[in-house]
Amino acid sequence: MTALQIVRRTRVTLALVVVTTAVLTGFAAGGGVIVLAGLLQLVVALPSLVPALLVPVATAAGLTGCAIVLWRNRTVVSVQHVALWLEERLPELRYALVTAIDPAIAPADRYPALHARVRASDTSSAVRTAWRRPITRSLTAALTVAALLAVLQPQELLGTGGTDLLRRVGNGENEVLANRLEGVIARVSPPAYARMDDSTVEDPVTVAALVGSRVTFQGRGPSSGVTAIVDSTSTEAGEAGRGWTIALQMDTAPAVVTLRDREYRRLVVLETVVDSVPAVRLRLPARDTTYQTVPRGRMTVEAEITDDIGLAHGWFEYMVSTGSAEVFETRTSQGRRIGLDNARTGTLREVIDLDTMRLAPGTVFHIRAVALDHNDVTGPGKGVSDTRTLRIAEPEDSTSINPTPPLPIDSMWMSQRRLNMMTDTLIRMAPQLDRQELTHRSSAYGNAQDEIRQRALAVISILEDDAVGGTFQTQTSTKLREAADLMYEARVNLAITMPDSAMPHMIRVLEILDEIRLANRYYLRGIIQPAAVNVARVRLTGEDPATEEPRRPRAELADERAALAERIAHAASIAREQPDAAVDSLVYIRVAALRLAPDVADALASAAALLRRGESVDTALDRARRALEPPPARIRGPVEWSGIGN
Amino acid sequence: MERNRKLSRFVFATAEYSSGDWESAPALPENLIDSVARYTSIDVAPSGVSVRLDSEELFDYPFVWLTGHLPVRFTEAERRNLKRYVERGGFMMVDDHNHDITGIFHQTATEEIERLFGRLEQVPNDHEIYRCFFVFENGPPHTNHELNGWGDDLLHLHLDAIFVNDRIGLLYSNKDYSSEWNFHPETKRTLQQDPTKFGVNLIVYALTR
Repeated sequence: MTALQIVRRTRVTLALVVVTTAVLTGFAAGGGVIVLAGLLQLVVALPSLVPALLVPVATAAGLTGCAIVLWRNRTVVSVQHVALWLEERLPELRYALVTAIDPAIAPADRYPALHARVRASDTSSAVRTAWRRPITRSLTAALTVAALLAVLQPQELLGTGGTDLLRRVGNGENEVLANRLEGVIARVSPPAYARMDDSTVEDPVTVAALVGSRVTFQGRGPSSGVTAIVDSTSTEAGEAGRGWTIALQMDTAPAVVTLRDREYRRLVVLETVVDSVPAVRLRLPARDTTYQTVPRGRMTVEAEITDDIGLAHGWFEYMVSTGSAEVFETRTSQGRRIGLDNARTGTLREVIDLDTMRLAPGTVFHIRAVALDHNDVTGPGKGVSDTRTLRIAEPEDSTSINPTPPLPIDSMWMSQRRLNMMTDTLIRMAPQLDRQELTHRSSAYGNAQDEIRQRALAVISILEDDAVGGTFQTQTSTKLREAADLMYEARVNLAITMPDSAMPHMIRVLEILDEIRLANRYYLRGIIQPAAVNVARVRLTGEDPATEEPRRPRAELADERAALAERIAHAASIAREQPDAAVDSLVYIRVAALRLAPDVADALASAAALLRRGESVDTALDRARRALEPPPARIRGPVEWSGIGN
Repeated sequence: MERNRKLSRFVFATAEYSSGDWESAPALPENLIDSVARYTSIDVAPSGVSVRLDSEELFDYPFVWLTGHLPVRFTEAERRNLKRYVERGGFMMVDDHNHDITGIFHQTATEEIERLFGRLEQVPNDHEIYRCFFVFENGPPHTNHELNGWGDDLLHLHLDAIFVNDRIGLLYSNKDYSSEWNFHPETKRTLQQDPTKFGVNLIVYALTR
């Protein structure tokens, strides 16, 4: 090894020692500042500025300590200085080393004795002896500081201000401890079954999400001190990169989240989106039916299904009931499960063999379709169709089906249909007919129309008889009354030879009669024959003593809509004086309204947004109040004359 | 005027629903009307009526009887109306004419009811429905069908109900009062005990609570 190589090797070793010492010294200096603050905090209350400045000051102290060590030992980079450093510690060299490292002055081939003396020297031991002292000193200082930090635990001191400040400096923000609730974003992660992408709402006022969704609020700044409160349950924020984050689960009911950061507060409405159960509509068989003979062969059953998220599978359910009096037997069966592949719409179709259903006279056959969705959070949602009832008549039913004669709707429908066809023919033939003939035929058709109307009025009076001396309208009688009014219009037009004008009324009449005809169901066992009790004869003839207890008045039903209206009125009354409080009130009222009256909730959202912008909310609140008013009541019959004056 | 007169007196109503045999207890209305007249001074109409479950007329009757042996499958309109009726103060008595908890009426009717209102709750045997006119110390009176071991061969010790603001809005029974009370009122003369007295309690409760 040449003299130059020996010096370079020593230089590397010394450089490592210097760097290590610098780092340890820097740590000791920086940590020392924090230890000092921690010790002071134990004795006196520190000003609020101290926590904010502690980390920067400690960092500066550490860097300074490190820099001082490096500066003081900067000569370690020079070969000559290292050689001189060795000469100082090895006096026996007598400057042989500093001479030998320069090949121009003392080349090895011309001064072998000089180089031999260098090689014979023990430079390693000199270096070892030299680095022990500074390393030991700096390491001791660093360990002492570390031990004190471990004892003092100054995380709180560092967390509240220091890291915040550092971050803000890093973010280029000048404001110290600004409102960390500004610029909040909400990330919505729907439940896995929904197979929907995540979405983000910036600066959220309302977050609408499916039940079971994960709603994550994120903001800038340290997490310490940021909380979210839902129904008095508080959740602390966690660290996420350079900001804070709070994750909440979307519950089944809407809620208000209060985000808090020291004196700052922000309300966010979590609006629940409910996964609807599948809507199932049985398409085939189209309506309830009574078979006069046992049906044979195959029958297709079909249902269409829709869902807002995705369908899992569906099936048909069958029930066959037989029996009479007190003995009934029911068999239930289920069709094969049909996969719907997470689609939003689907069709169930199955062909059933009626011969295997063991149908017999008197049997009642029920069919319905069932579908499940994929909801594994609150479901699965189960949707069922209306049940179709197929009855098979018994031979004796012909006498017991309905003791009253059937309503003459069918014959009325056929008469009207024939009259419509004749009137249609008359309209087409009108140009070829002379006026007298046209008038004669049109007038005759008008009379026929009136005759059908009289039959309709007779049926109405039967339908509206409540069998106890009064009258009341039924669905059928109301429809029939509408048809009768149209018949009157048609009759008038035909009487004045205006068949063209009569025709639209007549077409509508036929449609209404058709609706009534198809809507009527026939019950094999007939209807209950109202038997009149002679009330006067039996009145209070019972001998068993009654011991009637005093009754408590029925609790008044809470009028939720009135309560909402009252709260809205209060919010409106403080809107001008205390707009912030009014906005908060409107947010809470809106959450209550989401379930009860969604249209009111919309109006309240508009009002809150307007108020935040400092605009007038009168119109929006009026809209909310109007939406809360009860719908117009239907009044049957004429309104009593209240009278004025007198 | 007619409407006011109709509403001023109690009219016994039987619910018509689109599935099943809603008319399976034809003599029951007459019998309970007789009992109401026999024991109380309630102004009662001499004949009952049947009312469609999906009709607005349902709301004209504060007490409605629903029974049957066959599957109960309400239509969407029937469900909607029944829920409104019960929640707005009506009283619906649902009686299993099969007196059988494994029977199809019980299975399907309770499924429909619980789908609309949530779980049926047991009515305590000291509830005021057992004391509001006649006193039934042990809760609902047993029927011959239970005592003779027919149907599910069980003595049902309680009735179930849907409560609306602490008031019974829908009462559900497996005791088969529809069979027990389905006889001509004149037959009461031959009976030592009138079994329809509990029916009077039901009507008094529906009208006064």
